[in-house]
Amino acid sequence: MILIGLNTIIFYNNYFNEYPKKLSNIWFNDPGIRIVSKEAYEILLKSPSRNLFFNTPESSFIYHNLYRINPNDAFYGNGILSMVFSIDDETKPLPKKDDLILIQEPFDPSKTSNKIKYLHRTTNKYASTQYGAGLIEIE
Amino acid sequence: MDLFFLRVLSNPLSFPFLMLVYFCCILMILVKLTKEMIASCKNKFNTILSLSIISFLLSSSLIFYNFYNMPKAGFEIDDGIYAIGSFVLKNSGVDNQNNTKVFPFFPCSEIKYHEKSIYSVSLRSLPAYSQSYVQCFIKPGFESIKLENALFSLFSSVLVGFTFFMISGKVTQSLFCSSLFNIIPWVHLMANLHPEGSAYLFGSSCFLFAFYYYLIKKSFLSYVNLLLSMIMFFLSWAPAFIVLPVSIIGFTILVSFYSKSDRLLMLRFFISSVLVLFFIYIGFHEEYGFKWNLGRAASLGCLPGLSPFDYQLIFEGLKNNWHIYLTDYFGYLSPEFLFLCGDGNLRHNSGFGGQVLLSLAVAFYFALYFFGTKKINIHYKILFLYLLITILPYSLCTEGYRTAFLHLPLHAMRQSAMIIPVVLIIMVGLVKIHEYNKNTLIFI
Repeated sequence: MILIGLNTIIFYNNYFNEYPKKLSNIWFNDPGIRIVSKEAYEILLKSPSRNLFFNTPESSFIYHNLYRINPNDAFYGNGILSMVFSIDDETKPLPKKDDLILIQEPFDPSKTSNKIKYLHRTTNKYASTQYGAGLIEIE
Repeated sequence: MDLFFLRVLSNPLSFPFLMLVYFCCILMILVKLTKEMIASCKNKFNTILSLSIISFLLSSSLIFYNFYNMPKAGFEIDDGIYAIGSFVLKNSGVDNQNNTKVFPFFPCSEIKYHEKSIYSVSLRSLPAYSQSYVQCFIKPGFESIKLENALFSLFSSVLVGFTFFMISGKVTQSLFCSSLFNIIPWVHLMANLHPEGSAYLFGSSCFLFAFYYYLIKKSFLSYVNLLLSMIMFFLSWAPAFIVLPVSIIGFTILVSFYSKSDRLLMLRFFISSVLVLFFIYIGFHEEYGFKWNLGRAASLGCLPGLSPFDYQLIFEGLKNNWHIYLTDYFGYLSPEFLFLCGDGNLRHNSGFGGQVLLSLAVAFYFALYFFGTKKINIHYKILFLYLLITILPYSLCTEGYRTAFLHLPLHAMRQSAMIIPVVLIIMVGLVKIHEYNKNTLIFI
């Protein structure tokens, strides 16, 4: 019992302190995407003339805003989702001024426009790399 | 009342309705067993019992510690598609791909932007509809996915405890068994991964618990519970497509052989199980989701010839690769995988030793030694057989990170059903060590 107890304490110490660092360095599930996805939703809601392009997993924008997306829109991809395009989608409209880009780094801005401005950038506090997630505006 | 519940109640043959019936059924059983537990420890409330209760509560709360801040171990898109698919099912009753059936048994999920699908997968019913239920109580998204995983782990630990209570009849030991389950690194990792893996773990615990309960109580309630648990398990994840049928055959043969008085009981179990699986197959084998699940199992090298079914291809695969399958199979029982290094992928391993705490290694192998050398009762035989069966699906699979020493492609997440027998066997080992050393301080 004493041995198991000691082993458990050492494991939990490792699991809660060291494991997140190891995990963040090998795997992309950046908590920053949650923050910038929510921010992108709020901006789109205020200015519906803008489009959002994403360079993140396909689900990110809907997933992190699911609690405020109309079920009907999630079903058909209408409403606010009709303003969202994948950066790799060849049929997407041409990015214009004030459009937004949701990114997961590393990111190549030449895919859209070279004139960009960071509205918000996050870094993963656990990861040793400087990569993070961001919300960019085209100037 | 949420519209989802009304829709579920008006579709009594749907999977979410069966889930409700199953949860009512298991709740009744757990209440009965709890009463038995209380009766068995009346006037025996002592320090060890209170310690076991505290350890269970403490270990359970650790599953929820730092809950939302821990980085998620899975692909974001895999979690996302479950949350979105379940959200659509909850709010519309149909999936957004094949939207003709209300609460389909094999639902699909699509990510759509401006009415165009850009990503689609087939969901597994148990994790998908569980997520719909969770979303009734908490806002959908990252939080609901995390909570679902943690709840699956917590419910599994409760069922493991009750299973051990049926095996041993001791309340203290069963509470310690639940605590043991909760502190195992493998369980914590499953609680932080995809819903499918934890649903598979939960399904496995449901099935084993239901089988023991059926064997011991022999009541109508236990029979209904067993049938429902089989459906839950079968629709939790693709590996159950192999584990469940093999378990049915294995358990029937084993119990009929060793316990003559239970032969009629096992005959009833076998016929009903075959009928349940037959109806699921007949009813759904043409569905996209069923084919997708089976096809994925086949494409991962899990059994060439499985989809489309080709008997000769399966036979040839087994014949040509038997030595690889055999090495993989025993790799899952090796100290390297279980106690020293574990899965090479840090999504499935905490990087701190193996899948299970190193200090439990002696108990595990001692229990295996005990099973092999002593005349053991039928309950231990079932446990041992279940361990051997749960290893089966992904020992036939070449997917997985190479482990450190053995260089075998072992996959801890897809073998999550194995956690249940492993923990129970470790607990048996600890109890046996205690019995051999009653006067020493090893077990206190």
